[in-house]
Amino acid sequence: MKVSLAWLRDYVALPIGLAPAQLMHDLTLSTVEVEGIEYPADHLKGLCVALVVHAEAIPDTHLTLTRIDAGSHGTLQVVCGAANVRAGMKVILALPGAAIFPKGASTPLIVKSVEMRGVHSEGVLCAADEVGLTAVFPPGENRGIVDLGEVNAKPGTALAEAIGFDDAVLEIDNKSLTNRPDLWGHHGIARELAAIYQVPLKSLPTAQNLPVVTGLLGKPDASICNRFTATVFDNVRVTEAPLWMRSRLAKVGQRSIDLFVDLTNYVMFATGQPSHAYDADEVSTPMLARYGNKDETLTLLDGTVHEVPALPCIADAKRVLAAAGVMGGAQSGVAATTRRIFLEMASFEAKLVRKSSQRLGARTEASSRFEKGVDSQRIDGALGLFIELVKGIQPEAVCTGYQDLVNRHTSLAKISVQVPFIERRLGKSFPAAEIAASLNRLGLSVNVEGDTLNLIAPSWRSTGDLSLPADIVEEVARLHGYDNFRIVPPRIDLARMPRAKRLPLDRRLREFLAASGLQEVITYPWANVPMLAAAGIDTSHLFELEAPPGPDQRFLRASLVPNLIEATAINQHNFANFALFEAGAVFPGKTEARHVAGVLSGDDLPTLFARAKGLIEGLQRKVHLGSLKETQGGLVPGWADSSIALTFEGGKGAVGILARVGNRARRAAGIKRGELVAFELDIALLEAYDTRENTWSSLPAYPEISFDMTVLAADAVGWSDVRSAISTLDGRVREVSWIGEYRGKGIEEGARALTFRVTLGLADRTLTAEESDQVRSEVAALLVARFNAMPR
Amino acid sequence: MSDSVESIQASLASKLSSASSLDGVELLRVEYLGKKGLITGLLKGLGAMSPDERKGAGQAINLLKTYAQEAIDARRDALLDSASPSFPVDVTMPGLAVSPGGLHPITQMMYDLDDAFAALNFEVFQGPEVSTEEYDFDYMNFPPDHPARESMDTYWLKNVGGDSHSAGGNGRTCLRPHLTGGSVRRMMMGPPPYRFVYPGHVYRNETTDARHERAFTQYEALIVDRDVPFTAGRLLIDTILETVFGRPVKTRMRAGFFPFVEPGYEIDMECQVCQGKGCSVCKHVGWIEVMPGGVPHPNVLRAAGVDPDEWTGFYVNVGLDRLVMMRYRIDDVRLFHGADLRFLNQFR
Repeated sequence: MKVSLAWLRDYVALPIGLAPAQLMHDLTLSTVEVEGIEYPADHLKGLCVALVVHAEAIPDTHLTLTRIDAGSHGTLQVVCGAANVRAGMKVILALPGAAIFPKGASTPLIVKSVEMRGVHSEGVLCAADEVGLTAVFPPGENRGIVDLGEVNAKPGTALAEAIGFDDAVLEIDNKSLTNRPDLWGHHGIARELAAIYQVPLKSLPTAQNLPVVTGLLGKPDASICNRFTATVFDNVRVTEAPLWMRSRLAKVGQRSIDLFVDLTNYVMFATGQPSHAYDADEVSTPMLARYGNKDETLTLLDGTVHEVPALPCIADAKRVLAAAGVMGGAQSGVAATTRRIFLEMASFEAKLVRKSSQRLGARTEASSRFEKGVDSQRIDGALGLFIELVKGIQPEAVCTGYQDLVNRHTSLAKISVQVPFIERRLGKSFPAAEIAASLNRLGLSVNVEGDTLNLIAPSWRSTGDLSLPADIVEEVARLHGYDNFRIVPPRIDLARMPRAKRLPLDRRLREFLAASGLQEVITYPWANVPMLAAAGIDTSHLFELEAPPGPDQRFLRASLVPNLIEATAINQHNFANFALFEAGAVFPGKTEARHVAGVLSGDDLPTLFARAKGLIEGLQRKVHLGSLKETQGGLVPGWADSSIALTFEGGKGAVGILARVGNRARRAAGIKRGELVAFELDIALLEAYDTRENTWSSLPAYPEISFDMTVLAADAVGWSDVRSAISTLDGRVREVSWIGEYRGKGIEEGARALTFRVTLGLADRTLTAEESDQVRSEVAALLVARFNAMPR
Repeated sequence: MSDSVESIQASLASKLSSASSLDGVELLRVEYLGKKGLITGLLKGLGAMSPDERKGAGQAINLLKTYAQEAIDARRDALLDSASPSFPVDVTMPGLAVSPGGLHPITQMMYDLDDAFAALNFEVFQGPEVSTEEYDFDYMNFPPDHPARESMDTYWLKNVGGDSHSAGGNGRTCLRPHLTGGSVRRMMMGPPPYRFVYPGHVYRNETTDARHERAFTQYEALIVDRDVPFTAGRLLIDTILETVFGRPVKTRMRAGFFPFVEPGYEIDMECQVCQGKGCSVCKHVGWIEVMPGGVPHPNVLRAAGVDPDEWTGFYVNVGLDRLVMMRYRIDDVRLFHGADLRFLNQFR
């Protein structure tokens, strides 16, 4: 919303010397966000009022040679191409150096002294569009240069000053106004400024001695309308609005139409109260506020045609005329021939107007005000202003009728609040009298009873804005100035820590994986349909979005892996060996779980698999989790290659999976090279120690002995089988640990050389070399017998 | 005799200085101090001397022996000290990377803030991402006909009812459009006071561009106690911004309206690009809106089973993506969900 400083000054005497930037700051901190200040005069530099002293046609051209009185800028000779130039005319003169926009030009033309057809021309006489003033000087029928006949200023006066553009216009963020319907007009903003600067506010005029009549209005539907008024003016002429009014409207972004439309707009921008003017001779009273019927249609001012069943409408005795609170109809409006005006000014139900506006696809200045909630009492000041303006502009116009039907007035909000409550909430003490004074300035009536303030809010703050003691706290704080409060740290009891837990498991997992060389990514919570299909996920068990970002993104993910495989595909363009992980929400079977998953991409599958398995095994030590039991194969998800897969189980059941990514999922994601190994764990099923594992084993009292052994074994012989066979062979075996495997030269296809270390020990003495050799022989014999694995 | 001592010392010194290997030094040791060595020989010769001669010569020879031992040891140590490794090392080669992995920049920021708030004894709470109209709108004091419920920017889920006793809305289920509803879940878990943060992802159905994303991360903090003056909120805000930028950041509070707070605030920080002087980033205002906040609305506390006459508090809600963008001056929010390692790798 644009707010003119000059307009505000009609209502409030702002401190002398108050810079617009300071006002912007103060208003922003206390009331609403001022996003910027615009100076309309900036666009009118080098333009002044001038008088055509002499004009004569230049033979054989359409041009006119003029002598121009430009006051302090001297007398100039200007060649003008406009047909309407004549001696005695007051015009807009662009002096050399001014920037103007000749017809059709998108970049400005800088005015210079030039020779035209051999004649010297020292400036340009301007049309409205050349100086961006069509809103003030509508082109109308006779295009040409602007006739400033209605301007009193002497030649040489800067144009901005002459037309009231020597002003500052505040741009207020509408979002910050949503809950303050009282601020949708200049008078409301002025009221805030009066309270902020503690200066008087001029009230709006009240209409008096109106000729009350009946028959103008029928009883309005109570669900549509809180108050319905009609005012009739006779003997009017539909002229142009006076320059000062057009100028003010233009500065707040409203172009001029005609006197009466401009008057309704002006009153709306002044008070926040919309209204609509009809040609009184074109409507058949009584006027109604009612819902539209099935067989009716309405053509709005913007030309759109609407069916209106159940739409809140303004109708006369014969037909619907306007969409209540949103927009007038194309018929029955004010025209040049209009001699009598029927002014309809009403308070509409906010919710209905919002629904209408949505239904019609029309957001207007009126609807955006009504839908915030305009108090019914506001009509009084708005009508008073309208009548006063009409009197001043067309003294011969007569108000001949006024009717006012009230379904319900906005009831004034009553709030009781304790001074100590305010002080506690603000961390600062305030005398009751000081609070009362600042609330008074906002229009609240205050009755102090000891520590209690009994408050009555004014109607303009009673449409839902003020209702609670907390609302009053805010009023006191903002008028005191938020920046004027010292920061008071809250006093709190040093209680037990809310939950004596270590860092959340989720975080420990992420930090472990990041430290282990995986890069965290964050993907969307939905998964692509083709990936879901490739991953073998049944979409009938997934959450589905009503309005998805795309047709393929309509299901929420049940697993993190499909998105990670896609993320891997993206990065294969730039990297060969890398690993990604994500920890986040998944929604299998329409429930929410938190998973952590990773994908490792590289060329060497056994190494990749071993690295990924190392991560899972490392969880116990680095993330302080209980151990997991691994099973080869098992129930694997659709993305996994079941022949190269491990499933893991903890104390709470199946925890997750580690597997090579299967060919189908690779193909769906467009993975072209390398191998992918992925893992996924359900975080809730991991058993994290509250602190750490908190166990240890005492060191062996007698030295241990170990020996290394290499055996040749078929691929089908798994390490875990070898390990457990040796571990249970002899009580003296303390540990069997992996050293490595070898395939290739010297070893036949389908077999490998396994190298491992066996550590032996006794609780009561040191083993002898002979005993060690004996175990070694037992191990060798066992491997031959059990696995047909020959020592090398 | 003394001539002989002096010449032996001189010859040893000169031979040692040219000895360039441990073996060479060992040979010299044998030559001078070995069983048949020169100095050993001199010592053996003492027996043939008169007691007077022996006294003077013995002293000189012993000094020579000490000298020889020290000089040989010194030379050996010098050779050992300067021994060069068997392999040449190009010290200008790049170092071996410790580990290429890392946390997402948003996670990094989240953890920085978690740590800062942990120091203020705030706990970390995590609410569900699939939430309901009841928690995210009804309990948040959005009136039943509030436009935000109707708007298309909430990702509602198909054919899923919400909690059965939904007060005002239609009992729908959604991907949470904001975090604040989660605060009610935490409050319902036990009685006040509360001090907790609850970061997480939120989702809105928007058209994406460099400034808008469908998925983004918010960071909220809530304190509820008997007396929480609103300036305590500034303490939380200052904590957040100082953690993010590593230095104090000037802030200001002004009135703002949100259904779940009363009073509500908009919190601006001084533009970190121009230091408040005004630039294109801050639209020449010198301030940037960073977070809304305010006192929990009595209806929100009531929804959580907390008596608003006894308890009050302060909410702050930060758009984490935006703070990360400001911290690094990242110009496209879509990079965060792009999973592109070339981008993510940069954040250590």
